[in-house]
Amino acid sequence: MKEFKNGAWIPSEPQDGERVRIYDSAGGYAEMNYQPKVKPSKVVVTSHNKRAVSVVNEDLSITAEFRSSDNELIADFNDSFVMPIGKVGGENYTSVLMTFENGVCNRSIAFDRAGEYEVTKDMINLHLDDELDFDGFSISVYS
Amino acid sequence: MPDSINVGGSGFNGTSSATLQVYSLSSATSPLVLSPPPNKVIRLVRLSSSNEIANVSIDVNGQNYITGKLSGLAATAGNFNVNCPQTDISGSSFRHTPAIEPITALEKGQSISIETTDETPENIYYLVSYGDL
Repeated sequence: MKEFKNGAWIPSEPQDGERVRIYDSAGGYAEMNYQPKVKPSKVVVTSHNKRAVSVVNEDLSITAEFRSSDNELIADFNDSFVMPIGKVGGENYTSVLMTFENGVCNRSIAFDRAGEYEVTKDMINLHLDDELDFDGFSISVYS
Repeated sequence: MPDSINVGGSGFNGTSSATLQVYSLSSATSPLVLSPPPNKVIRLVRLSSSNEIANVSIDVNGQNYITGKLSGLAATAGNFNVNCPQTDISGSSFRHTPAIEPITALEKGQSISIETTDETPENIYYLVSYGDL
């Protein structure tokens, strides 16, 4: 049986589904059917190019799509998750519910304070079990 | 006083642990067998799944410990997870996931296995620790 120890497969990388042992740093192991890492799906903001600019207390409309790792829209994705929005270099500002219908989420947010805000990949994944890819998004709000 | 973790009456002196892992479990990929380092005892600290998985069995050293539906948020007879209590309030319904305590093998070197007869692959999330009795 092939084994994964100290960062390497012995004697060689297994085939998908092959029975293997994967050792952890403590020396224990899990025996399983080998499952190559699957590239994660991702959230892509399509309404803006990495940054949005808005005015205090005015609605900012954002559209995001749920896509495969190959950048194809996953049109049968209908789900929602809570996403934090943070102040750059500071605390959490708010959390919003992102609801995807047919793979698309349309959301309007009004910021009551001027400042620089951000959504990072870690924030997107804060409450998710299966990690999503995300390039990050920033929002500048002025008064 | 010894540095030990007592759960359910057993003395388990945890000395190391792995990190949370994910595995796509189905009848085709079963069983997932978790084994400790030499001269250590293994504890299944956490087991959960994003979606329900029917007929999941956890065996310790080949002996069945529990069989049931590995659940998300539904307190119904036959559902369980390991050490992942969650509460869901939906409308007028209040649901609490039935979580059993971490499962500790009885002796050094014993393995814990997780399997299902469900053909649909679903991700399970598990965390183990190793220690001494």
